[in-house]
Amino acid sequence: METALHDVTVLVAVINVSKSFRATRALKHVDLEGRPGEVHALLGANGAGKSTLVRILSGALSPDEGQLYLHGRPVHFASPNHAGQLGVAAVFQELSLFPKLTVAQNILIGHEPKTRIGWIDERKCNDRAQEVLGRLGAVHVSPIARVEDLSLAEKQLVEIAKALSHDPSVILFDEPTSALGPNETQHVFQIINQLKASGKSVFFISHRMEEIRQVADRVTVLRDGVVVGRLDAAEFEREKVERLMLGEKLVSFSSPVHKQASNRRPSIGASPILEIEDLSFRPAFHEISFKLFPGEVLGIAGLEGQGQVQLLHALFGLYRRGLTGVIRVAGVAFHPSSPRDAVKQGLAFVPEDRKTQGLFLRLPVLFNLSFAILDQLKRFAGWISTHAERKLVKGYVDRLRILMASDRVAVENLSGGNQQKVLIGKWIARDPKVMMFCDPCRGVDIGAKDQVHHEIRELAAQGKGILIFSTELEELVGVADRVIVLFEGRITGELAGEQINPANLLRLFFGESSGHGIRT
Amino acid sequence: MNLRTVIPAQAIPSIRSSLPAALGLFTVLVFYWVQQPLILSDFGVTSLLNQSVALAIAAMAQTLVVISGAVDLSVGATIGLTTCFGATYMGGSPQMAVLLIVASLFLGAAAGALNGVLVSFGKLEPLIATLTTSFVYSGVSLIIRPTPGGSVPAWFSSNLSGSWGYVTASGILLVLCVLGIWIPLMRSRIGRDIEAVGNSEQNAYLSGLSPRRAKIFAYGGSGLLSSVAGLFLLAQTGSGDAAIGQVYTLNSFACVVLGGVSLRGGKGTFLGPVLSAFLLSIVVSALLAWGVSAFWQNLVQGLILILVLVSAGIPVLRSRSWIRFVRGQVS
Amino acid sequence: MNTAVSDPTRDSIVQASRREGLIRIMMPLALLGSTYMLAAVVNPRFLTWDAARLQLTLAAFIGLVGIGQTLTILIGQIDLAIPWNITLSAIVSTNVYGQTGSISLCLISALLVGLGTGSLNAIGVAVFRIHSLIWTISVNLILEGITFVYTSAAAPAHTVPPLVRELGSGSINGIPWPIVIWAIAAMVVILWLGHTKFGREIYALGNNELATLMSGVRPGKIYLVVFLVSGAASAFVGLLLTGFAGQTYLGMGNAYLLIPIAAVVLGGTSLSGGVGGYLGTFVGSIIVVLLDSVLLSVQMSEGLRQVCFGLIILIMMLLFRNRPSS
Repeated sequence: METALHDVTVLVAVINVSKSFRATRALKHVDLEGRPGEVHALLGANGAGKSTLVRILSGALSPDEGQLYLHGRPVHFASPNHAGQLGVAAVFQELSLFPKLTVAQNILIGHEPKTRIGWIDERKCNDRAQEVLGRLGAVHVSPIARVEDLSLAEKQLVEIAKALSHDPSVILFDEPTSALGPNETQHVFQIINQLKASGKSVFFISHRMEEIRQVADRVTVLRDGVVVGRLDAAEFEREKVERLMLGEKLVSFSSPVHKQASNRRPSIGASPILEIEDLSFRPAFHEISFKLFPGEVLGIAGLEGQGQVQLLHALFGLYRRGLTGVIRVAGVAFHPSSPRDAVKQGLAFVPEDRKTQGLFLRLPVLFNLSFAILDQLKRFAGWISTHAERKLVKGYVDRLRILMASDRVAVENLSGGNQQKVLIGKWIARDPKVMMFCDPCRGVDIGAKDQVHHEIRELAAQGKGILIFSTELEELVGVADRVIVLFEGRITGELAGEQINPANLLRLFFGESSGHGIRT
Repeated sequence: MNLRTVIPAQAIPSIRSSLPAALGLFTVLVFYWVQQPLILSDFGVTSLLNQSVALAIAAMAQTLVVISGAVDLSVGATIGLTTCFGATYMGGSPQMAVLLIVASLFLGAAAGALNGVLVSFGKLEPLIATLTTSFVYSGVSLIIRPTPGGSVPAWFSSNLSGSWGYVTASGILLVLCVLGIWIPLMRSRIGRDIEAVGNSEQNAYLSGLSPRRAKIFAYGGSGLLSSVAGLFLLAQTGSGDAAIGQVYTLNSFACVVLGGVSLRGGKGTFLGPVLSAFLLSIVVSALLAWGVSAFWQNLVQGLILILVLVSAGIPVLRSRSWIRFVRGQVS
Repeated sequence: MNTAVSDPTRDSIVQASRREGLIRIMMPLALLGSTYMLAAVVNPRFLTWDAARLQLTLAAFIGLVGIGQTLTILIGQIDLAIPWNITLSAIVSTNVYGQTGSISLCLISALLVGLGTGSLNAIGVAVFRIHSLIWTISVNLILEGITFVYTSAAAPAHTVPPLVRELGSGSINGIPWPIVIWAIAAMVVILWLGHTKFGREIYALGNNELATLMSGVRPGKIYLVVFLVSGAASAFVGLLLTGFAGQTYLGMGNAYLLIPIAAVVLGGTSLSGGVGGYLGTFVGSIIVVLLDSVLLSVQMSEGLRQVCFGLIILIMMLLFRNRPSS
């Protein structure tokens, strides 16, 4: 790697960089380099060290050992702003925007143009912001709009504009598409290609294979904080890379062959465990009707924001008012106006945002796993038996293969996949009749993803009804028995069994029967 | 310099949030005027302003800190400290007095900056930090002036409470605070940083700002404004009293809330809180003019505050989604 | 992704969190120890049982108020209506006793004031989603207003009921009643918080209200109970104070604004909620009272005493507070 320093084609490099956080060693002697006019992808499972590396490169963290080089000269970034001044900017997965400030104020924060008296020149601010947005092709975003009023995709564009406003020569994208739908994702890729064409060095972090294949020139694979492979785009092969990411021993469940072989439910019950008739919550969804049978996995699909999440929320009682229609659980009609109602009826919900909606991050795994079933653990005078609790919890930890140091460790220390498993375990413990999942594998690495899918099929096999909303077509194909597609809040179609494939799904997504292009 | 650069388009939502306070003030003034037409004479306006300006400036102080996402429970103590400091040491030559005024301003800013340091470097929560410093500052006031008293030069007193027709010294002081302290601060990068920190400290850091610097400036500005309010109060009362500031802390919060500034921070303007200060100060006199006994003062003030808070909370109550309700968002 | 279980890094995480837990318990105790040593150095009389009895009695008042404040802070809120809750309940109850001669009516009226305050607090915070800082401060103002109107600023009654007198200044087996009551209450609270479902729900609410809601728990119930307990505890302290001082007076509760909060914070409970417990507050109450008494025994003006007290509390918090892991 020493030659990188003398190689004039290298724009930025990190050499022998290591970083530890308290007890975890996030990066161990990592070398990385970026060339101008090139997209260099970083691939790795959750916890592999990708985000840490990006933060070091962008100036948000300092390495414990090792050195950064820019244009062949050693540099030390004192802060993200310093890195920005030197030409390195990052676009974060979890946006770093200020909701109550305007788009222009966000884009130019920290380096606003000043008037002669030293005040901020608002007009120049707006003009500059307009210009950067124009370069991104985002002319519809107004510089004076408040960020909190924008859609997620527009916010992402503002985040990118913010990075670009520093006029950087190196740009790091940390999982920029995780919250975006297929349209917006393509748009981001266009921008990345533009940046590449104008000679910037682009880093792209993801754990989605398909995206890497579309956009990267080179790939570096990380595992457990170490570089395990470097490939050119030509050498990129799905299985080879998966093996690098996960280690030799693991066999991936997600290969198409394996999916067919996996156990399909032996039998699906006769009378529905959940019946929805003409359920409406304006303006999110209208007149939704379907039946869910015990032992069945029903997928809910569609483009983002077509009412799917709202539908699940409504079933779980997250709307206090405004819900019309009939809901029957095991034949009993009920009208949920709070999650407590839903839980009492035997529903469970694993939400889309586990950190803010599902987990108590600073509390131990034990606490999180047992929280929904405390009634079962009560002894004399309401005292909770810790012994019984630990036994019960251990059962679920083993079953879900949750990896953690101890059940007394705070949940925030676990990887994304294990956190998700804790959340799922909490609900399984309650033995619900119906389990609802909202994008259960978002931000979850491959190994945990397989475990989750396996568990979903297990739960169905036990006779529960499963509802799953997912934005990943593969997930639906692999796990669902039936899929209903929502478009603009209405069911546009239903697919069953063999019909469930990406092509058919996409057709229904757009609310028409003719094909509209396939995203692989 | 046309109007658009003075009032940028993005200020319009802030002006809108000040409307309730403006309407409230207008209503109360009308009721008061019906009972006592003299209230709108030049004498009436002078006395109204004299009553309200101290609170108005204190409200600005609190607003600054609230925008940064924190609270300042030491506003009242700083005001009291300034009055004690001035009343004890101001006597004598005009040079002495001027020196003391400058010293008071520094003292206030320093007291505020200390809060800022405790919160940013010391990582103490604003509530406990400012609650404890208020204890300390009022202790210092007691050391300087164990019992209320002291004196100020006559020209200091009369000038600050004086007026020329409808133009009052108090009004000028308020305008000076806005033009000389608030606007320069909030229009500069530091002001933007203060708003950013109020939105999200984490994102402020990731965006390359210094949350510490922003917080220290916010608190320092609050301390500075508090000492200005203290000096004005000193001119009004002519004596120093460690406890005189107590009521200003709670009332400054009331003004912030009534003025439409979100307690969660990130955005705010001085207009609403200042108008609310006038409103709150006048309500008491209006009640007295209506024949309500002074014993009911506290209760009435408290009830007004509760009513306003509840009415601000009602839109959230109507939200249809639990998630938005818990987050305090309007549907 | 399967890695071997015997990963050294993971054992370190366990050790790190065990260490944190230990520090959380040891810190307040260390603070108490040093404060006690300082007290002994300043005035050896502090080492006598007589002095300790007085300290613990005063600490009991703070500690009982601290029960409510700890619970409130644990759920991420704060109760600033305590001062005038104490005063109003004391004045109303002794007045009722003076007029009716009935001890049960006296106690009930105090309880009603406390529960009324608690309900008002809970409604504002849970139903109207108003920041508890500003809401409870406003409630405090209203209670002050009610007190003023109730007494029309005249001196309050002096008829302290014998039972109240006994509870406030009497003792059992040589131990003052306040200490006994505090000790029992402390044990109940610690067990309740640590080992019951409701205790868990309190920690859950303080950690993440949305997740608590979405786990099928009703947050409103928790808010209500916490604020009611805080209101009742403060009202009870109002009674004890009356018995202790032999009279009621306007503003008797004002000292109980900052000091119990300092006790809670020194005890390791975070003001943002979800972390900490009552054991810390228990120790914190003693620390705070001890510190106050040490300063009292040294001859200094009221103002200087206040300054020293505040500065020492600040230093203690800066140096020794358990910081939440970043």
